[in-house]
Parts: sequence; C-alpha cells; structure tokens
Amino acid sequence: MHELSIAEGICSAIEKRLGAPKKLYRIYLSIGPLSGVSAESLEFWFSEISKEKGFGDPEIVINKTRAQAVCSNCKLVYEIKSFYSGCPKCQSVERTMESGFECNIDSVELEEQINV
Amino acid sequence: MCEECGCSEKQDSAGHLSENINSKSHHHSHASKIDIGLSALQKNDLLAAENRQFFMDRKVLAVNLISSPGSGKTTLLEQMAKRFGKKMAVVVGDIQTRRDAERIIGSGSAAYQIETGGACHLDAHSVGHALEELDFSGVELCVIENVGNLVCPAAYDLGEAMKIAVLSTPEGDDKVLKYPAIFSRCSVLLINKMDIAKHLDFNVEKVSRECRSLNVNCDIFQIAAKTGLGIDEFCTYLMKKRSQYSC
Repeated sequence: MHELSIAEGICSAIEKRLGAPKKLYRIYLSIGPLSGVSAESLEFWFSEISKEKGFGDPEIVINKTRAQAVCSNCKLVYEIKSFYSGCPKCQSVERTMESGFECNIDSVELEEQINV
Repeated sequence: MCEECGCSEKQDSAGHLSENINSKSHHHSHASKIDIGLSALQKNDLLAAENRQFFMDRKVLAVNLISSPGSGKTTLLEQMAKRFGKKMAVVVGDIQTRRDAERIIGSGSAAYQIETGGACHLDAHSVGHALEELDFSGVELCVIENVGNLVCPAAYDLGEAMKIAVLSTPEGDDKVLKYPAIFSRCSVLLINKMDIAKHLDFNVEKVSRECRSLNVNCDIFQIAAKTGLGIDEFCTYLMKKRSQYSC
C-alpha cells in the first residue's frame, strides 16, 4: 500500500508552501476517482504521521471530486456519474477524461494559540 | 460553542474539548486559511519532469509499460529486443530477482534491474537513478517495465512520453472498467496472448469499447508475444511516435 508515501508527499508539499512544518487545525484535500488513491486509507495514514512530522492533529476534510469527460462525438463536457453511462446529450460512450486524476492539497488552516 | 469568541470548537483525537475558559491557552482556528494548491505527488512529479527532459535531450522515446503480473510484458520485451537490439534500453522494476533484466539482455538490449524490495510501483526517483546506470548512445527507445500491478503505477509519473497497458486474454475481458485509473491514462492498450484467445471467452470488442469510453484516443493492438503476432506492427508504431515526439 502506498497511501503512506502519499501522506508523506502531502506533508512535504505543505512544508514547501509554508516554509516549515506548522501545527494545522484543518487540511482540505481533493481526491478524484481516477487518482488511484483511496481517500479512506489516505486519511488514516495522514493522521498516523502528521504529529511526528510537526503538523499536529488536523481535521482532514476530503472533497471527493467527480471525473469530467469530453464527449468525442458532440463535444459536451459532463460529469461522469457511472463509467457505464454515455453522454447525457448524444449517448456516445466515446470520450476523453478531462479531470478526476487529482490528489491535491487545496488549503490548510493553521492551529493558532490564543492566550486568555 | 467557544465561549471565548463564539466559534464552534473541534475535538482533538482524544476527545477533549477545551472547556476551561480560564486556562492559559485556548486552541482554535480563526480561518487563517492558506492556499496550498499542490499535488500530493509534487515531489515525484518534479523528478519525473527531470527524467522527461533527460529523454527529450537524447531524442529517446520513453514508455511506461504497466500490467498485472504474468500478462507477458517481459516476453514482449524479448521480442522487441530481437528487433531493436542496442537501439532499445530497458529499466525493469520487480520486487525481487534480476530475472527479467537477464532475459532482456539475453535477447539483445541493454537492461537495468531495479529491485524495489517491497514497493508496489516504480517512482521517478528510482527510475532517475537507473537512467544514470545505462549507456544511452545510439538508444532511440527506453521501455520502463513497471512492477506487475494494475493499481498503484497509475498514479506515478516516471517521465515517460506515454503509458502502455498490457492486458492478456486469460485475465478476462472485464478488467478495463475495474481499473479506470490506469486505462484512462494509457495511450496504448496491447491485448496480448491472442494466440490462445479462441480457447477463452474473451470479447475483444467489449475491451476496445470500454477502453475508448475512458480514452477514445487510446490505440489498441492485438498481439501474441509468444508467437510474434502483431509485434512488427507495434514496433513500427513506436518509431513513428518517436518521430512525432522528437519534433
């Protein structure tokens, strides 16, 4: 299983953007159906390693995106609800996938300490 | 509700709520949202881009060969090695053994074996190191034979010009929509072991239709690596692709 190495990739991407590991309150991810990544497994592994990597124990919010296709017959751009279904306009099942491959870190919220 | 500022509180993993508002520190977030906008695989992708530049600088067509174990990747490469000889260099990924590299070298092409020791896929880092170990003078084609696995290799860009999937007839004709992550990414599908297809319930038309439903631009070849059926045509296709990518 490689969701552990992808969780490590998430840590290194956040560190790249922030300059250093910082304690996080919340992390927002987008995972597509064609990413090859299991959202549940990734959530598990990220929560396992985030503390030791210096990111604290953030809430993990995963946006499971849909794949978007371009119909090769009528050029309609549409969301794939089922890979068995055709284009909603012309019913063609010939298409290319425009999105759905992503496994992205969209944003993070920092844990901020407020002294009473 | 947080009595400090009225926002809703989050529980930590031990289930503690910060209830004592007289405590010294009171942890919660006030929407210091920072955009990240990076892929979880950005580190791999940067290394893949370096590999891609390496191939382009040398006018080498690089392909990432992906399939289940036992579909016939190495037998296919033996056939290709007989035709390409030293014009082809191969990077082979397996969990253990040097068997595949030895077979390819025995058939006439240079090959470097990566033994991952447990990793279920190759990544750009390990491929980058392998490229340093091969002599690319006179090489026109580099095949990266990925670890036998139809799942994990899909996510990892290695710096290739195209992904090629191999599906063999004994595996069954229902696999394309079972593994959309890989079949939506490949430029070529090789349907292998066509020499025994007549003994199996394998519907080539169904596989082709489902493959085009994930990527209409995927080129599909019916081959038999054991007998050589369709191999010449596939090799000609690769050289044509090389000249297209080299422009």
